Amino acid sequence: MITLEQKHIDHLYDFVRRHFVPYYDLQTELVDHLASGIEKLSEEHPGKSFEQLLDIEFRKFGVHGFEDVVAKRANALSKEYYRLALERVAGYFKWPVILQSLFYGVLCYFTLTVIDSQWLPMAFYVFIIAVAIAGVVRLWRQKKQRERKYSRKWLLQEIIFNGGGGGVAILQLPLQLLLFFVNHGSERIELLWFRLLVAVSVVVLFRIVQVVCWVIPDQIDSILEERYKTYKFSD
Amino acid sequence: MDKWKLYKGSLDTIVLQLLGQNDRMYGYEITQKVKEVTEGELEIKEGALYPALHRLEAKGLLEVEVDHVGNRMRKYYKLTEQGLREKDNALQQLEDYLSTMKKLIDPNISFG
Repeated sequence: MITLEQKHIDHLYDFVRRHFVPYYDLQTELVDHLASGIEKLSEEHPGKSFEQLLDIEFRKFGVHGFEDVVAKRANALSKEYYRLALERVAGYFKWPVILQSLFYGVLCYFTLTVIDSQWLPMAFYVFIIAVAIAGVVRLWRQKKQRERKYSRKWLLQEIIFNGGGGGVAILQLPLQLLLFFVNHGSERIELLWFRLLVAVSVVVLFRIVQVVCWVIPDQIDSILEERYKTYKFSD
Repeated sequence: MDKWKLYKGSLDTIVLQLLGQNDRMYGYEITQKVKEVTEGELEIKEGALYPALHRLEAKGLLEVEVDHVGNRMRKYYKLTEQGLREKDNALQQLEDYLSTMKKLIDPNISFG
């Protein structure tokens, strides 16, 4: 059995990168798998070259290559991200921080009561959308900065900078609420439950945007260190 | 019928059981162990194994350790406490399933 040299390992890292695996955590696992397979195959086929053995081993991943592995890994880590985000959003509705959230909610409710305009709920959602757009731009800038600073990419890092879903998912909910009001009007604004509903949704949306675009990205070092500590996380 | 389709539904149970029998294992080792134990009857597809491992890890059933082995890093998986409990549940469910299937396909059993 041959034992692969450093140049072979470097070649394998390059190989998985070229096959659309840009994330170091996944690259490492796949490189070890390919290397172990090549070493074993070299016993059965001593006459074959490293490249031929790599080709045999890679074919075992099927016609889509590493595509499924990356997609399903992203899916599993997205769920982890949502848990992280949910914990932090829930943190804003626990004592004593809930007082601040309550204050925003009450302020929102009384503004709706005093001004009594059908356009006001829409103005609130436009405000949330504007904050979310600023947040998405911030995420994009932070992502670029980090990519310039560090050569290794981590899948969880990518998910964090994509706001958990392609970067624009964070805009969807406030946008849908805004469209709902544009299409159906806000003639129920005089009803207490309706004003309460608008106030609660505005505060919750604001907290979600805050967590996704500010809180989690600002904690990215500690989150990645915790997630990838076993890799002795470093660049 | 493709044999793999029958085994695929039990992949998580197979992985949990193997990790229950061994302290920790890495991906390639799992594929080889399954091949060895089943005398070549079952070969776990790489494209299915890693998603299963990552899914079980995300559920908190597996934890990982990364060690340097020669000139490369190796990611090992091991059962967590929760994973250990889940392994027992999964095995029980698999046994129940096999027993039900046996009743269905055994021609000697009378259905009254």
